[in-house]
Amino acid sequence: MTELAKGQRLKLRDIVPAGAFRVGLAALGLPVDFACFGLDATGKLLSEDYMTFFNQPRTPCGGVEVCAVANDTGGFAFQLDKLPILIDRVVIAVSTSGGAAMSRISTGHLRILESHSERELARFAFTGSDFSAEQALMLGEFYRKDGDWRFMAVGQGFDGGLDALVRHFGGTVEEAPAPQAVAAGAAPAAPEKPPEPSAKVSLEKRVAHEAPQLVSLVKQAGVSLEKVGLSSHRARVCLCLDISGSMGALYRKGLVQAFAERILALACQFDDDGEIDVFLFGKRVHQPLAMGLSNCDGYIGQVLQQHPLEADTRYGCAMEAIRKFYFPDVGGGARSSPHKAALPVYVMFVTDGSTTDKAVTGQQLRWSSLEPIFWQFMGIGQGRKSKNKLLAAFFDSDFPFLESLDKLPGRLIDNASYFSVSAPDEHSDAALYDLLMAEYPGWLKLAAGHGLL
Amino acid sequence: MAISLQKGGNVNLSKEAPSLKKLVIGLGWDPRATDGAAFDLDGSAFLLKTDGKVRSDADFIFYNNLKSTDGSVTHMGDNTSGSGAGDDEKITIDLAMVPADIEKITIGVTIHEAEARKQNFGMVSKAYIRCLDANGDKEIARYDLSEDSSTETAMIFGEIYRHNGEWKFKAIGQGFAGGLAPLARSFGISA
Repeated sequence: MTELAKGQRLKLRDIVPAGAFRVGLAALGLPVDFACFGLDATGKLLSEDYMTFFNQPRTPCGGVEVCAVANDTGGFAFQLDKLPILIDRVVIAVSTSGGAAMSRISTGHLRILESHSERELARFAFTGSDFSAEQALMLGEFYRKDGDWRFMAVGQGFDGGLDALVRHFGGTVEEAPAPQAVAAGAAPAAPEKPPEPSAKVSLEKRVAHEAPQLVSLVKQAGVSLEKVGLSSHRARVCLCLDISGSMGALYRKGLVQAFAERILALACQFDDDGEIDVFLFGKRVHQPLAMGLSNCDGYIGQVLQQHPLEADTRYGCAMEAIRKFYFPDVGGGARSSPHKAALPVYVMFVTDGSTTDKAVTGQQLRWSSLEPIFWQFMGIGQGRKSKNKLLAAFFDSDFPFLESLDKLPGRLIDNASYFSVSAPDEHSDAALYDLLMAEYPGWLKLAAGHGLL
Repeated sequence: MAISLQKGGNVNLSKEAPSLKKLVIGLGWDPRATDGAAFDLDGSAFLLKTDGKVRSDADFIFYNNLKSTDGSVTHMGDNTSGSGAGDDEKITIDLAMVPADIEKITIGVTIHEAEARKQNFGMVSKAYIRCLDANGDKEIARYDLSEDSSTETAMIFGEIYRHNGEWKFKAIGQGFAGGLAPLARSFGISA
């Protein structure tokens, strides 16, 4: 039997190779309730189905179930291999009712037992002196690591009790109505009730069901968003693709399709409908059917059949069409004062060459700096070929104009970011999502500060 | 692309970054998400001879002694909560200035007042050590410790050492009972 201290970890394979076991719980000295939370890779509750407690004693998959354990006050039976892959962590928590602090616990423990016997395999013991004013505690957690499950004795919690714990797991935060509705005085979600399935949670289920190839991408995008504090951020996502003739090889190799799927995965984190608005531009601008979970397989190929490659590259026309679509009031034309909207628009703008309408492009970027729209440009080509700063600054790039856009004067705020790649798949998923989030969080703050959001 | 090291792994810094002159050791961890005293991690560096001991107390670089006498190793200051983006603590090493009788520089991290605050490394999320080239802040290697830490309150995160005229970095991830003072004593500091 293994004795565990706070902060200690354990490879479950060593004690329960099949991943099936029971957990016995006790916290004597005050009235408590136990609950179990199934979390995704970002630490958020996957859905209310994965909060297991006396009122909801079993997860849909049967991986976690309330059970009685002899001589203990609470218990759960686990079959970890039944849990959906989107569940990354399972946290066992205890909370008090009536405002009592955990320092009043006389003795308590979390112990791991065999499924069908009373044999104890590991024990994390604690007393009230380990805690102070907490009214809810995470006692321990099971988590995935390198294809296996591990356990950690946590023993940390929140003075604010179960409410604070549920908020920590993203429960009520994601449920909050859009910012405008809050301003209008809509009642916030009642903190007492268990978390509702948020839009994002049900979307993750849809991803697993309709487009399983995106599951790991969505997860990866979530990791990058978490890093910049945008886990529960909402935005509309737009993908703008160059269909000039020179892009042909990239389309034929399927690189554009793969890239579009990576953006769709980002949209699944940002968006509640799991769709991205797609614009194609060459000599003219086209807006095909939006790309979503149900039609993402082979989407780019189908769209190209309807809209063959064209002979020109005009960024400005595409930007005008995109602005017209999201902010119809000025029809893509001049804007002289800040324009506010509930949700920001994130535009992923992909091109492999310079534009022939530079003046229009600059003007569009200036006008749109008064709108809640952010332009992320990605140039596919050689980028800067020289490390010599002096030379590079003049001509040694495939995208001198894109680089200059990044620094274009005459805008309310910097509303564009630019990077170049040698191919759309140059970066790993993780690195790409980090790049995509390099300047956007900063723009969000500026946009909010200038009343665009 | 930076190299991700496992416990015990090493990387040849001179090979990975041939133009490397000044090395930045970055240490980071996530601030505490739960209620209770903040996690205050303190980074320190020990300049060690071939026998694994310091030449004098001045070879122990930490928040009260920010710079080595020869100027080769500099501690950039104390972060007391782990909040803020990027590295929470930095130590810079000017490799050419490291005295010839110094064989390796060991990087230790301790939790401030761990005992009083009832804290240990197992409770701290996403602790890491990484090596960067000060010229351009390019990451050369990184070691994430979260799975290798447990009930320790002091740890040796990694070490920079000479090897056939080149510099290497090794991910150590070894716990040390008792905090900063015993750790320092083990390297010959009269703490």
